[in-house]
Amino acid sequence: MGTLYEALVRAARLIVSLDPDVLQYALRSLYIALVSTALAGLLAVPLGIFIAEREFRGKRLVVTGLNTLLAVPTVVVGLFVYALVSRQGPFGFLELLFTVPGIIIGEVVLIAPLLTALTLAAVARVDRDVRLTARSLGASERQAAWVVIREARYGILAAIIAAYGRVVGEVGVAMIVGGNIDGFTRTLTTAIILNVDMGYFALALALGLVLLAFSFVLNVAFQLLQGEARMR
Amino acid sequence: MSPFRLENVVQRYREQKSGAPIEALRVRALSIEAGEILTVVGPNGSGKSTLLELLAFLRPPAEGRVLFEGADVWERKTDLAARRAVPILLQKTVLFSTSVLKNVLFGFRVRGLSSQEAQARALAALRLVHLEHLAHRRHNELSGGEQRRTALARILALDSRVLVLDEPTASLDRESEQVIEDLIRRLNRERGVTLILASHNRGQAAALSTRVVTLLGGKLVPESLDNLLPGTLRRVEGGFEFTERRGWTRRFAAAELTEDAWEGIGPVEGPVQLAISSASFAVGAAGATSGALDGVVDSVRQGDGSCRIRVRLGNGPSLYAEIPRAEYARLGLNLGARVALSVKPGAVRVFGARSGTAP
Repeated sequence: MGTLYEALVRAARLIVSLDPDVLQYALRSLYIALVSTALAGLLAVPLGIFIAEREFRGKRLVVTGLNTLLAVPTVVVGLFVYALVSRQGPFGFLELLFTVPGIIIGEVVLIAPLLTALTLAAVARVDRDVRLTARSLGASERQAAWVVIREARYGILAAIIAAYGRVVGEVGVAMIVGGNIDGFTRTLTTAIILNVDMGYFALALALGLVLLAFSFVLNVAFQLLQGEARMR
Repeated sequence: MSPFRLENVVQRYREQKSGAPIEALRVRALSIEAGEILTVVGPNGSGKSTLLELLAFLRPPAEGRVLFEGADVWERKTDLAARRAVPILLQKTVLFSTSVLKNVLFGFRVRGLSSQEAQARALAALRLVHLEHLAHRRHNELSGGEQRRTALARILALDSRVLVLDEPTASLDRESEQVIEDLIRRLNRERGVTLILASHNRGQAAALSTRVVTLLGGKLVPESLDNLLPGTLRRVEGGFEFTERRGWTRRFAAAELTEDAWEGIGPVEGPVQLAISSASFAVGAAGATSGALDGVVDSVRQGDGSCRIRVRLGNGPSLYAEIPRAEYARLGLNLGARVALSVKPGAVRVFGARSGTAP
């Protein structure tokens, strides 16, 4: 207990004093999460809407495939992207291994299926009669489709928040593709593992608390959104 | 020019599980004139909503033509324009997740109108359904009746010459129902709006409409068939046994039932509606004819040349019979008189109770 208490006190001190290492890892984690969520969003949200809106052969297979990808362990995605961007890999010439852009690509690969599947579910969940109602009031097919997307907006936002949450707390891709290089690719999660390994428990705990704060902010945002959705 | 004409229209749906096509509607001919209040009545699943969605151009027919103001809308690909001319209140109320006022403004927005005038018209429509005070409420802060009235205001605001209303007052409290019924009458009388309604309430339909048509099993029942008996039909030796909904039973010889109504609905067994024209009965003294329907006269309405009597069959249903006045006088049919209704061969027509299902 004593160790934990001491560690907590030291952790608080590190955070309050804006320890340069803690700050560096936190900002890098935040940057990676924001950029990869944005990139994945640009890709996956339209794709999810497209799949939800269209009827095509093999749609059920696509949906099953996406749902399978939801459960893929992050280390597997890390290995897969590593294989692609390592020196011998097909994209080795881009020299992305052990770089932040490399991690971002890995994270995009990780969350794109999640974001697609959740967007798809959010759009599909919108009452089928919404489209019919819009058309009954004189909306064209395109206008009716837009109404459906509008009605799914809170579900889509929740999907984006969930994707962001997955990246922020993720360690497999960041470790394997990023390589945990201090000053370059070390993030909150990889730093925690390293510091625990080396016995710097207080620092690891401080980093953990920052990570927890990220989760907290995320959840507050989520709750606010849901409250908003209930109001509307 | 009549706003609507349906010619040999067939509508089919795919069954959700098997994907097999189900015939939901088969209408040889139907015209609707300007200024009518036409109500389509029939039990659940008889094809009312399918017919109304065709009239509102939400779906093209599988076969046949739907003409709007003389033009074949689907052939000319003018369905969006036609849809904008004929707003429909769908059976299920769906409000968009925004305020009441913005819901009502939706029709203007998709038409590219968002002026002060649109706003004024939306508020006027809300006034018509007595919801002006709730204009800025959210969609989910309304009672069921208020939601229905918002949906109604949404189509009223568009000032169309034609409105289609699918069960506008179903499952509403009496007050909301009254508001909507009064409104339908006023729109028709004061603005000459043509209204097409669906209802399963025959009494309401008769009180509200200028014309009532009946759908059974996806088919229009000719107006002359004014006696409808819901029940089940079972094949027995030498004919069929009909059990009316409340348990009254009678056997019919095969020759008494019309076969042409069976076309396309498979073997006649299971839930059906028997339809008999009030003019097709021969009325005689009770017990005089074997095989006749014996009953007691329980109401009489005298018309110009004929009388319409209602005959209650034992503990079973009541049937209307239309007979010439002279015949009525000769038989001395006072209230309470016992009579026998003879069914002419082929006079009883059989309709499957639900569309698309073999009765």
